[in-house]
Amino acid sequence: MDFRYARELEEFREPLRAFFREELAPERTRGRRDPRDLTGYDEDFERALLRRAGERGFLGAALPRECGGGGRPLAYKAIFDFEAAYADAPAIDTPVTLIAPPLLAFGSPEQRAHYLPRIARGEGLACIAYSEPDAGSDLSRIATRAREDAGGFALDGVKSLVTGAHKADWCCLVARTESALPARRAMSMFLIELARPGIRVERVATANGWTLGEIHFEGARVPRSALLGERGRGFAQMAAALGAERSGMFYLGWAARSFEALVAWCRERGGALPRDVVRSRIAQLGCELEVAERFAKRVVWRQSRGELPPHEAATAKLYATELLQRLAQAGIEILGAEGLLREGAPGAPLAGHFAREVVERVHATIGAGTSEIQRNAIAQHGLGLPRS
Amino acid sequence: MTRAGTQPGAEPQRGPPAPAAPELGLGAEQEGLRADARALVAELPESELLRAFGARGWLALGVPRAAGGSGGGLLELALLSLELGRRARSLPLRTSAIECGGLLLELGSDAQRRAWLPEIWSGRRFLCFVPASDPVSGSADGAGLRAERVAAGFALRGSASFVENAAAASGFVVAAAGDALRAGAAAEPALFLVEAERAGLRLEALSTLSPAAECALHFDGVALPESARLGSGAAPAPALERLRLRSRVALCAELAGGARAALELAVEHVQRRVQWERPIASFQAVQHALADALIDADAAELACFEAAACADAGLPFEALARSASVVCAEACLRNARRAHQLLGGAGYLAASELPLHYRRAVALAEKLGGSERQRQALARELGL
Repeated sequence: MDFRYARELEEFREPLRAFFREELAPERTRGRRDPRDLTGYDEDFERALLRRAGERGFLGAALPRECGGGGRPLAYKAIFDFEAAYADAPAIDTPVTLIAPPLLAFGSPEQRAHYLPRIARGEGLACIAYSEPDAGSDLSRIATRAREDAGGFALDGVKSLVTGAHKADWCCLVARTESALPARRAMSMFLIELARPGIRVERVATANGWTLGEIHFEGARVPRSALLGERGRGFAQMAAALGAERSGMFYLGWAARSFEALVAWCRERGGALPRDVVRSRIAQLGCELEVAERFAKRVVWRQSRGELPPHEAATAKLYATELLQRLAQAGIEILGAEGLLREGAPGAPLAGHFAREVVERVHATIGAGTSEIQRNAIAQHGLGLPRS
Repeated sequence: MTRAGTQPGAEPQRGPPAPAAPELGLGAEQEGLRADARALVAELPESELLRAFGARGWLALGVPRAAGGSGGGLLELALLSLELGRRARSLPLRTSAIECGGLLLELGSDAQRRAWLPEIWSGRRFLCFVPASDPVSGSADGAGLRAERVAAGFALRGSASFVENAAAASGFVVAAAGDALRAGAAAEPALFLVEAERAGLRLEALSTLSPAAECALHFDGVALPESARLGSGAAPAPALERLRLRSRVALCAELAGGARAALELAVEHVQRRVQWERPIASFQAVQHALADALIDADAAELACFEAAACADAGLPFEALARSASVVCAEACLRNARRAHQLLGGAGYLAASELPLHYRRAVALAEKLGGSERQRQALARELGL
């Protein structure tokens, strides 16, 4: 038993951390902030950063060699995810994260050959469109339809709450292809180019000022080659794709960033704080951060063995996202009224970090499977309790 | 505090090249040990367990084979402790094997080792460790016990409270304030091996919540020969600190076992208990409480494993032992309370195993020094 990362992983981490530090140095990011984007940066900045991460071999380290990747174990992706989040870089919702897993699992040789090398090089942006106005946790309610015709499929419907839709080149979505069958056999997965007639993306403002996308499909025609995986297997494929991204390493990177920022801020303030209460609160959060880290490592360890019990993935996601909320709230309370000053406001402590966090992390326990869904999975898969 | 995960430049791996990912699994031998311990603890009454552990060499785990031990490390001891905690058994494993055995091995004279190590390791007899500070008298300098030099050797005076398993112990390794013994080393305790039958030593049984029978020990000028001193040549503090830290990890593992036990009792109950024509296990309110209990039980176990694995790799593990103390104590308490809530009235009856686990959680969490004290210490390490 050894909880440490092997030396080779730490050797991957060091230049990666330096890379993000360089890319996000104040002189590079000046004028490139964009509060309307989830990443906090403008689109050109994000695209350029991804290309350089691709050139350096960071982005596709864990993609297969024959697809233009580095052929390294999945643990390399975990390190990348952690460091990207730790640096708060616009390298979280990358195509590697969003669409490489379903491509690798279900893609045709042609689809893999087309997309994966581009993804590894850091070309293009992607989004995932599962949710709809009436389909959230219960994805069997998906109503977007894909009707097959001579040349391919025609899409009709609305996908909502899509991260990065306004800038994405590619979109992975699930739509109904069979009308008469139950949901589990009625859905199919597609990987499409978004710049097509009949597709309209609207930007919808979120509670924290950035935008999510609403994608309207109005008789949008896509070629047959856009079908990803097997027709009628979209529901199961979607479940597998969601499960693939639950090591929680992003969450952990953000949590470590917040924790360290808070500790550093308190150290500077020293005697000005109600010491014992603050010290106790922070130490507790430190213990919880270690717990979150162990749960995430457990997922990485399982993945390295080609296994992943669903309840362990759920535990990592659930624990880390709830911790992010506790950290953000602690930051606000400890920083006091000034902590409410937002980025750019004169005198904002930690550049408005916690003012952003405390609103941002609200959605962490909602997206990618709500905490309630995770607890159901833990109870049912981890403890063998019946479906409720 | 995220040392292993966020900081580059961790220690290199030892031995053959390891896979890149962390390895969180137990080895085959460790799995076997855990399964054997689980079976044995379930099968035997508490009174027979110590000898049974001794017969299998388990009381000499964590001691190199070259020194007459059974090999293995703190992780193996943590596995045993987990299984003891799972059944709420109060064996003097920590106090006798880890603390007293460890002190004898590191500081004892040849005669002391010959006399006691085989007894401790076989489980035929056991010793209890008595720390210098007394939580009741709370003397500020931590000197509940004092040793004076007298003509024939030493005289011990003072009291120590809350010594687990003391009534059945054959003797004690006692830490006494030694400022009269070593000039210039005021805070350094001195260690003495005191047989239970020494004149002037009186045991007073305490009625506490702890399921491990606890005693107060009163030393009324207990006369000891020169040969009763442990480690007269060396300063005992570093060894003492290290062994107490190892013992703390084992205690954390007992609490992690308690957290698991409470979860298992609750899961078993809710599947059996039918209300409104369905097992209450099918209710989401119940499932979500149990999901949180599983998270706590896993968090506690992993915290112990990391601290133990780190100790066995020869790395510093003090901070990990402290955070494990917080994580395990709180997990065990929370899970015992969750289980009480889910077992309902039946779980509150003394016939249920659960009250034992709950009382034990409360008592052992206190033995760890209380979570608040650990948090303050961790904050100091963070430079706060």
